[in-house]
Amino acid sequence: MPHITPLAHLYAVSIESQEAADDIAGLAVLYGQRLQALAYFMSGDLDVAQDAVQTVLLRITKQPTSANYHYGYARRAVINEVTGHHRQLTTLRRYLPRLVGRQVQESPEQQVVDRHALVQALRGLPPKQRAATVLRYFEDATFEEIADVLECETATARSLVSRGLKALRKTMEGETDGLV
Amino acid sequence: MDSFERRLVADLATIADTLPPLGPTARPRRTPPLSPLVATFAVLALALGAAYVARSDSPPSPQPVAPAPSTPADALTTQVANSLYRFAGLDGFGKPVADEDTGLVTLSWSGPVPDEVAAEAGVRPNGVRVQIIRSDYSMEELDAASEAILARYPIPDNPHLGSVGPDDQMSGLRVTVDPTWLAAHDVAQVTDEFADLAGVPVRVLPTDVEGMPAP
Repeated sequence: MPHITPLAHLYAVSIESQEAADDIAGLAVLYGQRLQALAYFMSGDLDVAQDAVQTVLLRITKQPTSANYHYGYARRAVINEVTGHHRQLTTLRRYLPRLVGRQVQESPEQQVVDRHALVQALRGLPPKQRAATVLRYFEDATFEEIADVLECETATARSLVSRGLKALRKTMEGETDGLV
Repeated sequence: MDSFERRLVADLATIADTLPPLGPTARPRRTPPLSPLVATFAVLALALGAAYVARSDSPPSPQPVAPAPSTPADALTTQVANSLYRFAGLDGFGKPVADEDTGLVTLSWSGPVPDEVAAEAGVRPNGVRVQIIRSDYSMEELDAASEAILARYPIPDNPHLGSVGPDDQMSGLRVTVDPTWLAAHDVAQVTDEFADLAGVPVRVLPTDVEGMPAP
């Protein structure tokens, strides 16, 4: 069940147009949670993910064009925010000791899914492989859509997914004989 | 789709469902200062690692990780810092930085500070202090400067680049690069090239394997 985010309330006061406020509120409610998950799988860290999504949503409010409100735009922007700038990843490494400790504390669902292991395995993939794999298996994106987001040929997208899956399979099955 | 792929799809969906709500609890993470606690831990971890390597040829095993500090004061300070992002659309907005150890939030601002922003300075009823300091550049300006460097040197094509982003004082950019790469190049020349691209002062620092600038 999707969470109702207070993000829209937080940012609604800073944008000028009520129409834009309605749009960004709708975007956050509709897509915020999914974007956060996408960013989390890309970065391996919840704080980085939330920062990336907030940054993208804030950017959309500052450039309120109709195209920016399209989910595809937000999705591409979140992926670029996490992978392209690299600043978040650096921050992640900087704070790793504290965040790893927190993840262990906050993961009661580990009995169901070895979240840490899967997210760690994803983090072990090169950024484009990781993005392609997450887009394919979390976003259910076609290879054409993946190619569009990553700005590459469809064959390249197919190859990225294939190599990402192979690496994940090797890591996960090698360590645990299965994902769970 | 084989069984591994089906399970991957299911597990990703499960993990996504267990994530907490997206909300204002996220910390402002645009190059925040290294807190004394984390710095102390990092130095200690590096020292332990060095000592271990000195005694053994085998790779060091993962060190136990200290649990995260989480007190009401932490949350309040972060909450106040996040609330300042409502001014992010105003000209001159710099960066809210939360010091959880002292309960101090510092908002940097470039140019004239609007009255509504200036009114934020002081001590909140919850004890969190807010101060506003002048900075040479706004976040928008330094983001644009970062983009100028990253457009010329995209990270995926330039693995020696560690990070590009505003420094903590919002006085320019800090670029971290691989120390081996840096040792083989003229630091002054590299710095000048980045500064020419960015149009703002740039400091080039070596990045250690953990992504932190070397001392």
